[in-house]
Amino acid sequence: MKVGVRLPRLLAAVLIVCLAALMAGFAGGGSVQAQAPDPDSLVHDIAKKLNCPTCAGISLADCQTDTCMQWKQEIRTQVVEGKSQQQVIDYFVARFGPTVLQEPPKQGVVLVLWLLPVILLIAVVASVIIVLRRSTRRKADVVSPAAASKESDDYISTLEEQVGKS
Amino acid sequence: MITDVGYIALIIALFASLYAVAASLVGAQRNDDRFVQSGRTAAMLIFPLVLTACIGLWYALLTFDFGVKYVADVSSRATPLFFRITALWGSQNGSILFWNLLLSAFIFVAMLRTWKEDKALLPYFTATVSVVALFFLFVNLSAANPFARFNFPPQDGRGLNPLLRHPGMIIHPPMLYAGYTSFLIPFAFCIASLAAGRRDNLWLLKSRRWTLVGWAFLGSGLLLGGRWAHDVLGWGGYWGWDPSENMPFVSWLFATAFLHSAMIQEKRGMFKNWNVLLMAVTFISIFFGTSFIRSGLLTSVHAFAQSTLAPLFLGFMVFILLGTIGLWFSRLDNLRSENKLDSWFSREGIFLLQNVLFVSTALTIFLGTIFPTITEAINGTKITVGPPFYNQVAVPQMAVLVILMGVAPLLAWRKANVQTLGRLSVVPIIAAIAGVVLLAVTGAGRLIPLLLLALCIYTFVQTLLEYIRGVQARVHSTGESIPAALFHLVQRNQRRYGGYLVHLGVVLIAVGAIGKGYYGIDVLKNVKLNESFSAGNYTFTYRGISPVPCAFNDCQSVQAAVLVTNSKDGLVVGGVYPHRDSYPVQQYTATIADITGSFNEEVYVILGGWENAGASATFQVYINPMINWIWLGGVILILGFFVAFWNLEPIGEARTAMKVKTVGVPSK
Amino acid sequence: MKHKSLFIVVAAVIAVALTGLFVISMVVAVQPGNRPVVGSPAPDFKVSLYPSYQAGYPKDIRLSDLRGKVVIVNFWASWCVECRKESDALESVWRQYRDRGLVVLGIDYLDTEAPAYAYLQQYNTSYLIGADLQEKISRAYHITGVPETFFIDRTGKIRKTVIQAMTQAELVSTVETLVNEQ
Repeated sequence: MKVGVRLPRLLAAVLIVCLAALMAGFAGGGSVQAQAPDPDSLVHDIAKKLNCPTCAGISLADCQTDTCMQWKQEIRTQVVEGKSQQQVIDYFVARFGPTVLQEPPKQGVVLVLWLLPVILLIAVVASVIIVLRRSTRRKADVVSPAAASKESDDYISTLEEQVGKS
Repeated sequence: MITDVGYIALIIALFASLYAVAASLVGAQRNDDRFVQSGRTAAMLIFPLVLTACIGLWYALLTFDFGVKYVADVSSRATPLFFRITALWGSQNGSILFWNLLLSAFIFVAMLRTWKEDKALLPYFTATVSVVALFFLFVNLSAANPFARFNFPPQDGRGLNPLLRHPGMIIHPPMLYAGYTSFLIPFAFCIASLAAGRRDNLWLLKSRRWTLVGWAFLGSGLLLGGRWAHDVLGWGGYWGWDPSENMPFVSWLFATAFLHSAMIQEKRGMFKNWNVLLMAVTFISIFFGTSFIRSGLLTSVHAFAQSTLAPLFLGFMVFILLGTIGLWFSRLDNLRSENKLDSWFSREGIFLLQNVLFVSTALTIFLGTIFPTITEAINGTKITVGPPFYNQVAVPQMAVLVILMGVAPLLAWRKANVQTLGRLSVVPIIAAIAGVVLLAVTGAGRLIPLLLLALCIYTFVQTLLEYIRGVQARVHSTGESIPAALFHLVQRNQRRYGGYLVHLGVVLIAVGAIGKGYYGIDVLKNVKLNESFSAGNYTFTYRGISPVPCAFNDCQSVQAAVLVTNSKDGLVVGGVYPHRDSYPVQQYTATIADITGSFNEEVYVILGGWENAGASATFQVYINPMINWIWLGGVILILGFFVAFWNLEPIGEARTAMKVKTVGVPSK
Repeated sequence: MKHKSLFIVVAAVIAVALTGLFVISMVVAVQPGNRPVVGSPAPDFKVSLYPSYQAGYPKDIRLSDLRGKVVIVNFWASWCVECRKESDALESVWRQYRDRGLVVLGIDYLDTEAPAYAYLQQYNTSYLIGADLQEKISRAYHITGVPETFFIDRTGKIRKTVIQAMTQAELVSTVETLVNEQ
């Protein structure tokens, strides 16, 4: 009985840690390793960070319309001129606005976007846990240990009972 | 002439739905069955009337009646017959008509039911579905009229949007629309149950099949949309997190959450409030998604937005929202739980957690989708919320859902046993570790994808074991042969084992997404004639370009030839012929990829452009490992749906009849 | 019973938050959808002209600086195929009417500089050209695509909008009316 109470809590903690680690990992990792300074791949890397101006969601690197081809040509020109990745991106933001960025910079209003889902999740999980803890605590007075263990009977025999019925 | 008949039929349909609403409400008020039946008949009439309207528009499309604006917009004399038929949903006004057709067809089918023990729900049900039909018919006759005519008809039309000339795009919108519209039925059951003041599960049981159907249509619509994007947009991907994909996906997530939590209400009489809310949110998200996309609110200035639709949709949405929430608040007493949660470490507890995650994932995606619109209003700067946001915030939540999918079936109702869970997890955990070690040894050495793949292997093996254990149990208790045991196992527990099949499909889709997302390679290269470049394990040799006949007679096509060989052993993998089709009238160039490689590793080649008559050309190559697992998973998912769906009704009816006798006391 | 009511509160908060989100985003999205209509004052904007496409005007000008003249605001881009159909006509109308108070202002939309200059050279363009930096102008005018043209009279009011390539005859007839107004 005691194990049954502690373990779920432990499991919950593990789950939350996993989720946090995953989110941190996702936020940190990502792009494929950069190769040698080959202009083609540099152009491609920059294009991956920008948006196709006339289609929703698709990155410039994945877009083949005339507009996109022209933009990519512009990136190439600037790369050949010797500009760095950041300089090219800054040029595009200055000219076309922050809309061109695939990933909006995590500052100002945009921070709300990143924080809100996390806050929401934590709030909901916390409230559910509070609700359930209250109910289980009260439950402990009502249900006798014997009844509880009867409920958590052996998986296989339950299954046999379920699948065998006709 | 026939076209005008269609238009008139549409007007009559509007009045029929208006009458259905009025008669049903009067019938409910006076408790007079004659009015209720009359309302039901009127609601059934909408479908043949809308069908007549569709036939009218089809007639105009088939006879090149360019006097009708819509026909001139979506077809031309060069448009082949097949695409003139599908052009009915090729653009906004026609697609709303098509939407009305599907909506009224579902209403028709729902009205054909016997309505015996759920007779008390009928008037409210009719009123709800008819109000929604009334709204869409009104839109179709006012802001989005597909029958509007030119004063001076043009000689020829513009032709169908080239992007829509793909089999996937022909099936994808109807699938999605069918998914969307079919959710009206369970929603109306839910509203009717609240309005009639019921305390029982009747609405849930009666609408279960409908919910499954809507869920499956939405799911396959999303999958087909992915396939279409993969084939036609020439970008190597299948999912771009753009608003028109996100909105249906959000609805699908809500619907999936509902399908799971409905089981708890059925089995344990809990989560009644939550289920009503989930059903309402699912339907509202569907309505919101449609109106957001249909009214062009989410599309940028580049799309031909018709903002006249927006105020109409907004008004109706506020009406649905206020109506539903008001009804829900006034009926809170009827939605009391019959049971308490004994322990969160139980099937119910995990289901609740899983529901929370489904909802928060859906809300995350929803937030990302509408965020640019909000920031633009706040400080005038328009930003783009691209894939990085969703990958970092939504994907981890989905990863946890994959684990829960593996664990939940092992947990007993009320209170589960930790030892049992541990004992049954030994094999899947060993399999997951072995699989990951194997992958790491073969060079897939990156932490996050390996972790995610481990979760997938665990859940996949665990789900397979569920089948194996079930069969063993049956063999043990009945002495049947293994195939017979499997057949009977599934036959007796269709929903359970169909559900597991869906789970297996979802895991395969996840594996495909991980493969493409983390191990995908893409290379952009400009090469001279007969020059080679390499990407991944492949070498690509450019062999020249040439004009080729285009698939349609309003485009020109140029095709490149590229030889693909394996870099290690030099063996030929295949030749690819990507082409670019330019459509002068629509000012659009389609980039059509060519694909080679193997089932596990797709090689996707795009012709980006060329210089000096083909002396050099630019190619974009995508190596997409495991991407085909997504489509395989999709097929299994749909198969799982059929297993769960088929023959569900007798069980449902029997159970319903029983429940009604014991608890079905309507209170007002 | 306490936990039950807490659950309802949580659910209610979520429901209300959701409703709020739905409605706010919808309202927000609806509100800026107003295209400037014919007869209304043309929204003012600032534009930096491309060097050698200033036609004698200072580099940074505002639309309101051109009050008293007839202005054609033409949204275009070098990647736009349809725009090429009207470039010659625009240039010839500009040459014909510039002395009678016409200004043609080309707004280069989502374009990069090198191809834009190549385009302008190809069509011997001599009228005013400036870039639509950060899409500010196109958003103020809610254009649906390129080419798109707004005719603004001497008092700064929009008199006509065209959402496709124009012919020389169409241009001349509109401009003729507008320059004759005083």
